[in-house]
Amino acid sequence: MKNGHLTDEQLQEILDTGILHSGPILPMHLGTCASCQKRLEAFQQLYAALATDPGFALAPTFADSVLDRIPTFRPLFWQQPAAKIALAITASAITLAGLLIFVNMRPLANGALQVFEIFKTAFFPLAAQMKQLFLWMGGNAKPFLYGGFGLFSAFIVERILLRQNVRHSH
Amino acid sequence: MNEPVDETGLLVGRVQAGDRQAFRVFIEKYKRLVAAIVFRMVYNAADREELSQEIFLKIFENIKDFQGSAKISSWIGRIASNTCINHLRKKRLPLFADVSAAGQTLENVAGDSLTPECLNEQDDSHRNLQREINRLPAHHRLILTLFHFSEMNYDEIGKALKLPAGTVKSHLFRARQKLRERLLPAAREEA
Repeated sequence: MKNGHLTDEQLQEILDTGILHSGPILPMHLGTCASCQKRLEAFQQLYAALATDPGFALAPTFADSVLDRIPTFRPLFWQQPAAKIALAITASAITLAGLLIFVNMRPLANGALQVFEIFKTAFFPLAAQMKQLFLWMGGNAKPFLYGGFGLFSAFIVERILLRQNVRHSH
Repeated sequence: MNEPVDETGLLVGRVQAGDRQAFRVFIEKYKRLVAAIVFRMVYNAADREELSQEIFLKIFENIKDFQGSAKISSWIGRIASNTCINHLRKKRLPLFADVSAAGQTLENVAGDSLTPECLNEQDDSHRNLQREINRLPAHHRLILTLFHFSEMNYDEIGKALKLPAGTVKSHLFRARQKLRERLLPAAREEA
């Protein structure tokens, strides 16, 4: 403060930031000092004038001029998504055809069959036991299944209703 | 300049995707902001049009880098002000001297580039203000425009112009002080 009044910098800081770093005492002074209030109002008028659109105008065709200067990008044939998919399918088909024609697939086929027999021997009895287990659980866990299904249904309904409420509130 | 976040965000997203139609809408929306900065900094009419186009081209090239952490108007203000400063440096025009002190004339300044509606609406006090703003040094004019028209704060202006926030604040205060001193006698005469 200068001579008991707010300085011009302090007044501008109040307007710029809404607060004054020197503490709350100085803004309180504004409530009691007519001279500082008058100077603050003068600054507020200046601020309002500075924020007014000065009305500078570019040519009406300005946007066209800018867009004309932007090069149009055209993707090359092999950069387009459909072309990429077609190329991938063609490459896979050619590779498969080459393997079938030029490579003897019999040993590979025999190997695959052997692996399948091993899985069948090892896992089919296990699959039968799992089936027994599920049947037992199904018989004894019916109430829990019904309850779980009910909770899931309630959840879905609540989600649908909530989404509709949100949509309507906008 | 209030910016509804969703609308602006959608528009920026479409421009980032390369949508030319969206960029046309973007240009129409922000050309006043760019014009305010360019017209304050540059007096030559041909240079203004060229610079404004250059600014929007730079925006289009670099908008993919805009992350949304700042307001889009602040980001545009930064590009516009840097482009104008580079232009003034290239032309070896002073950034820090008053227009009258530097011997420049005020040809092709705001008066002949205003829309007819604005010319009709403006009163003398507004014209006096515009005239006095044009007499300020370029960096004062720029900071005033960025603060009051682009609604950038001290830190954002400082980052845009590579100045400390305290320096921005002091430039702002000095610019407003000069305007008050120059306009006050004119205001008293009108009264």
